[in-house]
Amino acid sequence: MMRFARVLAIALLAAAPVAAQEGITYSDAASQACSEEAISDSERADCIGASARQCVEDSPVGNRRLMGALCLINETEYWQRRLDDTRFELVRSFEATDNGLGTDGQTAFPMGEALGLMMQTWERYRDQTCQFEMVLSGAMPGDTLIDVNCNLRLTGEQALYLEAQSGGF
Amino acid sequence: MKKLTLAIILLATPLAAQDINEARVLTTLRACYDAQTTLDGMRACIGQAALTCQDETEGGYSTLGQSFCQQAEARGWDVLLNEAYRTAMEAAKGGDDADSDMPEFARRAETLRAMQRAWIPFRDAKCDAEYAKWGMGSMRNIAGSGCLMQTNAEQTIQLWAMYDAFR
Repeated sequence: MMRFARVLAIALLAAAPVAAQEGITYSDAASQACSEEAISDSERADCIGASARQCVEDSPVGNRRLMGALCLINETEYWQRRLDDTRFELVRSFEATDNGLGTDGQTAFPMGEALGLMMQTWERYRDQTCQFEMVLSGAMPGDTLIDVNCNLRLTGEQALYLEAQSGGF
Repeated sequence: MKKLTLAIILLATPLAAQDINEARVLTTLRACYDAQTTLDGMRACIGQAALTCQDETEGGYSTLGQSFCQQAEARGWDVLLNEAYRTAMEAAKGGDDADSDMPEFARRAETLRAMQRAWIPFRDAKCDAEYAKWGMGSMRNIAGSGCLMQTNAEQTIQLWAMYDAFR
């Protein structure tokens, strides 16, 4: 259902007047600068949504809901890239240790496997949470703003969580 | 010399999980939690009962002591989480009943249940990863129990936030 909602959002955006799409002014800069300057976890969490807000502000008046959804989707992609990059780095940094497991009597389980399972279960949890939030908000079927907003928040939080974890290695 | 030997033996005596007064940890946690009127206030309670437990337990500041106290607080949050879930579920069902003529909207209970069911394997996998990252190091125990404590607490608070949205 979640995937359907996102696909529908993208389809609606694709069908939007050309001017509405061309009018979107999006950049990762606001969220990136905010998270670089943040000095605490709560400050970093507040950076989620900064680029989308800036995008809505910079974009000309048009279909605000449609523009808002597009801005949110663009920022979600930014956090998803950060999440993927951190996961990739973590798996790589643990490759040697993971490959050595079992050869010297160690019983710990591979970090690559643990991370893979965490991401897989997180994706399911994210989808179910956003589905619940959509129902809770009383959103009409096909109204994706709640969904994309929830997806941005959870993706951003997971990216920041994994980055904080990677600092502990 | 005998005194020194005894002291060394006592220091080396491993703390056992049963040395932790679990009922006291839950009472301490609940006292903090029940006194809060905001979600931020609830967040400030995270870890406090475990710290009190460490203070009150001989060897509480050892690796094992810290881990056992965090595990006790994690179980305390689990009790509060179940209470929050039941409260939210009742409200969800009430909302669904009110919308019984619009089945497309009467899906609060169903989606709440699905979310909570998806959260459990996520929590377990997340805390397994935090445990695994320390390899064979003793820090893995503190990391694993701290993760359970934190994640149970965050989900409890999240459920209250969602419940607020029902009302």
